[in-house]
Amino acid sequence: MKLRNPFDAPPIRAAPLPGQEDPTGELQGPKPDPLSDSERPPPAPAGQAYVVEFLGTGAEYSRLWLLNLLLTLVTIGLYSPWAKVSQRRYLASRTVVGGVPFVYLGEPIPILKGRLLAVVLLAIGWAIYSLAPQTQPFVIILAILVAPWFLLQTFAFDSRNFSWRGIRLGYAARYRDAAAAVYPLLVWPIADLAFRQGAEGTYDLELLVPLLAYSLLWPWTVAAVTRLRLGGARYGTASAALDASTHDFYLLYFKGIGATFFALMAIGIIAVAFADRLLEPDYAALIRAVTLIGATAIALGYARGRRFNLALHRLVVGDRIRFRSTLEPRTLARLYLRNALWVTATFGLAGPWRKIRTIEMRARTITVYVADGFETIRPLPSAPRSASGEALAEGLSIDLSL
Amino acid sequence: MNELRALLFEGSTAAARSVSVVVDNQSVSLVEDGGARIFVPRSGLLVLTPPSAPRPVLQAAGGEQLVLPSDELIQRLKLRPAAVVWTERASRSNCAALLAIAALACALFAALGWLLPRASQLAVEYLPQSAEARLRADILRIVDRGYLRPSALSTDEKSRIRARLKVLAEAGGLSGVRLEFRDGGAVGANALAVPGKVVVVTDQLVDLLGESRQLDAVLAHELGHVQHRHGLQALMRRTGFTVVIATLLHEQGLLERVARMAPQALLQAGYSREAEREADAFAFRLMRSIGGSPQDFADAIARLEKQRPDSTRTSSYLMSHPSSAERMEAAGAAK
Repeated sequence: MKLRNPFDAPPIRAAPLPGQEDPTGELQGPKPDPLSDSERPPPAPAGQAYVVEFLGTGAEYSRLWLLNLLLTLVTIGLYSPWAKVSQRRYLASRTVVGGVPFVYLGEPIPILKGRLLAVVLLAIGWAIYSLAPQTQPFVIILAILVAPWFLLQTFAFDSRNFSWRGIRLGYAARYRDAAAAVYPLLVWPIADLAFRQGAEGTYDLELLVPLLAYSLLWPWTVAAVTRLRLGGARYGTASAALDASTHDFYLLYFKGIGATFFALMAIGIIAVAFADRLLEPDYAALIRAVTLIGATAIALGYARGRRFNLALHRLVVGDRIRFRSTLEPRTLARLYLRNALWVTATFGLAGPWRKIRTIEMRARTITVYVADGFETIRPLPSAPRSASGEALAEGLSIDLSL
Repeated sequence: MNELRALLFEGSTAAARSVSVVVDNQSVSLVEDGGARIFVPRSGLLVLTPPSAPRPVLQAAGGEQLVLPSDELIQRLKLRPAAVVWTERASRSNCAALLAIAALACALFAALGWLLPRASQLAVEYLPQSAEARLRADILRIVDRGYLRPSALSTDEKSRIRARLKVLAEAGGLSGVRLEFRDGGAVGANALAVPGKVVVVTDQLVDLLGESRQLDAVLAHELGHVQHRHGLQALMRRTGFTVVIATLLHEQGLLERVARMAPQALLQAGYSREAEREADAFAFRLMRSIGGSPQDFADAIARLEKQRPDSTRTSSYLMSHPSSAERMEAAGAAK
């Protein structure tokens, strides 16, 4: 017998069976292509719908953040693992999908050990690097070689400590995929080195070429990182697959965001030029700052909104769990703009409160569809893993949250 | 006896079973819709979620998880949390949060106003010579590639001006200061002090002021920067500021990093103006000791101000130097 979840909100709508027409016609979008995929939600997938709710409040989270910050400063960072754990526990317990919250199971002590080990390793590396200059190339090459592995360990550590419906999330990906995501980040320094040897008067070129190379590779990097982060995700025995190609990301950025970007640049340049000419220097500086922050916020909002939608719509977990997002990039851009102004005006104190607002907004737009129930999703047999390696990676904290 | 609906996850699959939680005096039991009853030892129950979670999750000794609709049961049975994090409890009080804000504000004030300047001064004192020399080479390379061109001054002119600098440096008790000449290009008439005891003057400055007391006054000002090692201190402060702010606002995104630039620019400009005033005061003293006057400095500033293009005006809060009017007034007061 199949039991109903007593906390479930009723399904948003009866999802049409595959191949069946949507009775209301409301969800009949055009044929999915990457751009419209990220613009408007595709038809609801088949299966039972579960609403995502975020029940945290800015006041609660800000208070927690403030106390954590104070204790972390007072203990010169030793409290930071407890701070991290408490913040994650808070966010997880307030994220409720289909009436069931996430649970964060991470513990502070292993994180502390990892962080202390990381400090020691970094100190040793730095000592070798500066005391024996002839080893420098080897240290750099070693660091480059282990970076992807550390990235995988960080993801694994971050994922494995969350559970939902009694089943832990997990993470598994290959070194090769991690390398594909990390190595484009080296383009800037390499291009920079290559052009540093140039003749006199190439100063502009020296800045422009690495920047251009980097921008052209950006969608590729984002695609690799997104595929790595989501494609390696596990929910118990169910593994995730992200059906989005690099080409999709190029379309998303260059066709979708290019126009917004150039419009923002044009508006920004005109605003700054007018302000410089017409206003007192103090006000002109204010306009410059607001223009820079505003343009960054809007561009970031659009980019992340579209990326979020693209990733969610193309993600399938264990062939049965699908997602649908109704997030509008425009709305996210507006929220980012407000966030940026608040954070600047309060010297960062409003940060946690705005973070809650952002999570709330994103969560509200997601619906999870589960076909065929949860019976076949089982926990992974918990093989003893190199928890210290993961904790160490967490300590070195390679952050690729683009 | 009291009844409560809950969701049971046994951990073997992600599927849920709907159960009633029945609490007797001694034990907790879960009753399925079919009537089957599971006893759960009360002592083995742990609370996995933080305090006041909207949907508390309990874990039984066997690893089963129980999702409750409210924390009433936890209160009633006084169940133990699986992890105790001190700030989770404390953060439920507004009072503690207000105290934290006050303490953080004090800490920030102390860090930026006292700790950072002191620490940067100490760091500058203990910085090895080799590091300073490497820094000097890097900075000179950057200015040469970006802004400056080789000087067109004659060797005679250069050595005469070097002699003037030597007199000034000796009067100020400084040794080993190197003077470099460059064509200023778009920068125009200017002088700068590079960490590692190097003063750079542009051809345009020499053309504007000639080999005069006024040029001496500008050189004396740059020697003031050398004496106080302002360049290095600014670098240390910038690094320190980044560390302080990154610690305060850690775990924040790109947007916050951009937003942080505004307060940083304001503070940096504030420090920089302070350093300029210090260098000015040093120049006033030095000019008097070689038989000149602070008025020479005021005159130099006035002539520099006159030829400065209008497009370089900036906000008074973001200016790296005090206003020319203020500097001339200070020179007048120092006479």
